[in-house]
Amino acid sequence: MIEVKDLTIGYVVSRKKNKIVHSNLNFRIESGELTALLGANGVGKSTLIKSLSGFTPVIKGEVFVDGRLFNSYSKLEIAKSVGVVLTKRPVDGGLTIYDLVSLGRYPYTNYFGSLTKRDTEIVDYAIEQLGISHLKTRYISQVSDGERQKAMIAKIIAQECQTIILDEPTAFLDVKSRLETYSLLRQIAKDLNKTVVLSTHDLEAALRYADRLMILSSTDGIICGSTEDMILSGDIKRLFNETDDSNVLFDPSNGMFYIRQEGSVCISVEGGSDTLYWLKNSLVRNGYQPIEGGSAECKAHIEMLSSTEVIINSTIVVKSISEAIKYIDENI
Amino acid sequence: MKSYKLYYIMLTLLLVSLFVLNICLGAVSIPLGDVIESLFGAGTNEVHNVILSHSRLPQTITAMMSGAALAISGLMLQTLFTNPLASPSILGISSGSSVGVAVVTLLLGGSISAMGLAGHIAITFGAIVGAFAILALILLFSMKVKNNVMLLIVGIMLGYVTSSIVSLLSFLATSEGVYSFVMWGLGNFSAVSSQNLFYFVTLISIALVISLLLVKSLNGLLLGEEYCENLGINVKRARLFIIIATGLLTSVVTAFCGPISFIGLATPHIARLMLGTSNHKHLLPVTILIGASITLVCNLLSNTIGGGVIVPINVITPFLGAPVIIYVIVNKNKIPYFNQ
Repeated sequence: MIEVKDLTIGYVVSRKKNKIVHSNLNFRIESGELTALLGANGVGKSTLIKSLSGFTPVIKGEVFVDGRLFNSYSKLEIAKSVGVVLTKRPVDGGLTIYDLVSLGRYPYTNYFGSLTKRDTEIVDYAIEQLGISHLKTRYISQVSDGERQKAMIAKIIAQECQTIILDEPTAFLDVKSRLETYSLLRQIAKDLNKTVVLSTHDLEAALRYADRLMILSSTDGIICGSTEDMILSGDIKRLFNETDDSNVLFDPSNGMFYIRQEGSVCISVEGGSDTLYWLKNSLVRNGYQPIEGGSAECKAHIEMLSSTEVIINSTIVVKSISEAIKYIDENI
Repeated sequence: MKSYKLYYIMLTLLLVSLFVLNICLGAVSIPLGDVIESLFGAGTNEVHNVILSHSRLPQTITAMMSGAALAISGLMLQTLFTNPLASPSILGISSGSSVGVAVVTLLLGGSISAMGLAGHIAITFGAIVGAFAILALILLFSMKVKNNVMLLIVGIMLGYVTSSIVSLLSFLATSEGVYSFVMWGLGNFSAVSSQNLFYFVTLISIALVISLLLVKSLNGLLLGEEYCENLGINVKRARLFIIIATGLLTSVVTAFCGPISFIGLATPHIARLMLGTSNHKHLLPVTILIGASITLVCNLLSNTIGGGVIVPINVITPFLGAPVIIYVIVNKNKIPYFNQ
């Protein structure tokens, strides 16, 4: 568990000058849960992650890791309790996956890094937990980005850290390995009762897998809450619509983001949950603004009976979403 | 996991046989029987006794230690700068030593070999100061210049500046001093007399032991600085120790034997290709064994191929080292450690 009180974060500009990024941050990160740290670029996610990992010293305030003041941890104690996974690749690809995971035992081994029987058992266990036993003898440079990140997570498991901090761990990964990584991390948090916190830009995956969200913004500081509460309370919507001043709209009904288009025509929509999602998606892409249930300003009404039966304005029947869009384009 | 025992046995056998060949062969060939008798103080051939104790034995030990020293410095520099093309000579560290040596020999005049122990201490001191000055500069630049190739170019530039300083010193020096400096620059393992050998071996051994104790730090650095730090390794201290060890190894060898090229650059690659790993636990000792063996090969060639004339070491090392580097660069995509 991580508990943060009145934390000021920032980075060192010169010997005597610190650039303050945020001050008076207060939050708790629970163990047994996957927590996602969200926020726009440049808002200070990385700085916060670095402060929690012990890479940059805390400027002001207090961080407690598992009930103990983080400042009182020695380097070795940090290594044994807080494990870090970064976006960056290891600089050398010439280690095998097994060697990489066994580096996680370094805080516990002697001067030459010799592994005892217990160490090798822990390394094997970590490799098994991440399901990468078949990659043991492969080199870091020979595995995919996703497999490499799994190995880095296995290294942290071998390091026996209660807290795992990941800085955009899935930034370079394809969809499949991204989702796999998230679900593995959540499983690790649950099964091994670890504190797992990751920073990410991948909001849709975060909404799906994270138990808790922490949203960092330049105006409101940090807002925390359980994922579903934050969606329904409008915290996420507010964050994107107000602070970002951008054209991005968040739809709490499906967790999707849309680009707002100026002067877009309002269309009322209706239909089953599986088909309606894609109808909205198509309308937004084509420059319309779908509204469920409809309103007075809506220029047309589309009802999805099934994926092959779409009714426009209760009269015209077409066979697909694309035909419906075509009709709307031509007639409205 | 893979067992490396066989490599250690083979390399040790290779090293021992090269050692014996280096002692037996040269301008005068000495039969192995005589060598053994002489080593146990029972040699009957006075000429052979003198050649062995004053020339062959110190030269062979010097070559072996120098090879080990340069190879392991190359390995540590490659890991520290995360750059497979780093080496004491490419980063300008050897040139730094050269300036130190040039200042001592050219300004003070006289020939290096005629100076005795005091002269050697002065030269070693000059070489150490020069090497550490360049290492400090390179380290400073490495904080600013994150691109590996660019950093190598900075090293090469520093090398140019130092050689221009050397040129200036040569221009001002006596012709005897210049001759002595040029001869030194060609590389020579025979300059360590049996009296100085003890100091040479002690200094190199201390630095080699420091290097072997850096296994964990070096392996941690393979992952990058932040990951290394997260393993509980004090990166700043590790970096300092690596610099001290490489600086000491390079400058001591350079002071006594001249700026010897390619051993530091090529040997770590041979070791990695042979073992198929970047894990320093095995890479460090194997690099020492291979470095010592290769240098003994060079020394043997230097003493034998000229037909009575000693061919300078730096004439031979590029022929052995350059093909290795070219091979590695050409096959870069197939070699795991070259890729991230």
